[in-house]
Amino acid sequence: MADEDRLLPIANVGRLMKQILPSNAKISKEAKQTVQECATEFISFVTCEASDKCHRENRKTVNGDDIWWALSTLGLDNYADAVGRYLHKYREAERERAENNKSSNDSGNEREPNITSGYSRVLEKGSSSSAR
Amino acid sequence: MVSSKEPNQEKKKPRSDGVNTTGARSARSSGSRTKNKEINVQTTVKKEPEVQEISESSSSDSVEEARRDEPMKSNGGGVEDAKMIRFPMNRIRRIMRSDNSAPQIMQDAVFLVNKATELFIERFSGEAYESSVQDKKKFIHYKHLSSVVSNDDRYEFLADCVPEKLEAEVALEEWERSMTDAC
Repeated sequence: MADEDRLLPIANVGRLMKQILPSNAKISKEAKQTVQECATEFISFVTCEASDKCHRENRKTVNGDDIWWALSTLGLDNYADAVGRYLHKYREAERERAENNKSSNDSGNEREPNITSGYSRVLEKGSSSSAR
Repeated sequence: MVSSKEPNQEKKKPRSDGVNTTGARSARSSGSRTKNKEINVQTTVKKEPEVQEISESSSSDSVEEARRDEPMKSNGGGVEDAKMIRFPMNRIRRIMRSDNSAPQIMQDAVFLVNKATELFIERFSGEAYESSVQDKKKFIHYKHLSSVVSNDDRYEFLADCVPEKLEAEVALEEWERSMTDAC
């Protein structure tokens, strides 16, 4: 796997950092690359914990609850609180989308444009603020 | 009579399904025309929330890269924040699978990791910025990240990723000391 593929895209990382930091903040290239690697390591770290839990419980599929559990267990409680809401809203949105798809298929139309906006609407209600 | 095939006028009826009778026209073609309009409107509407399609697609990486930046303020723009998925789901999934033996990963898990990673970067960067301010530096450097990692137990998992850098002289001294102690 090429290096670029095994890491998060640095453009996205840089963009996110720029948005979150004060406008006068500057980030060295090395620091940005380091954050990119750390974020990638974070993903592996959380996934590994969730995956181990699945193994212990003889399950083959890692789901959102496992990720939530891993975040709590790894001392990242405030992440767990924030993403817990997202998980709930995501599942609601997925249900809504499935229902919309079903009704669209029934009426013979193509996918309804408001699926995505429905999802965003649902997330909008639940976001209030991610715990910081 | 089929008259609808006019390649230049793409806005009219994307599919020429031969709808020509007046009655049907009002039903079906108006539907498709409306759809055109809806698509045009929807394109506009879609740009605002910029929601990532939940289902994976091969072009999602480029879509993510091309996404325009909205000025997201962490406090005022909380609503907008929640809607966006920052990273390509494909890439997140690939990283999740690379080191781990989990054969299957559900989409909601990938989504959560996406959001959690976003939070992680926000917080980690924020703390590094604080460190750079204390250091009275204009740039956030590697050393600010490494000092955050070494000073906070929560970031212990990053200790190998972001070790503190030592100058060669200092490293050599430590090595010699350890050799002396060993003897």
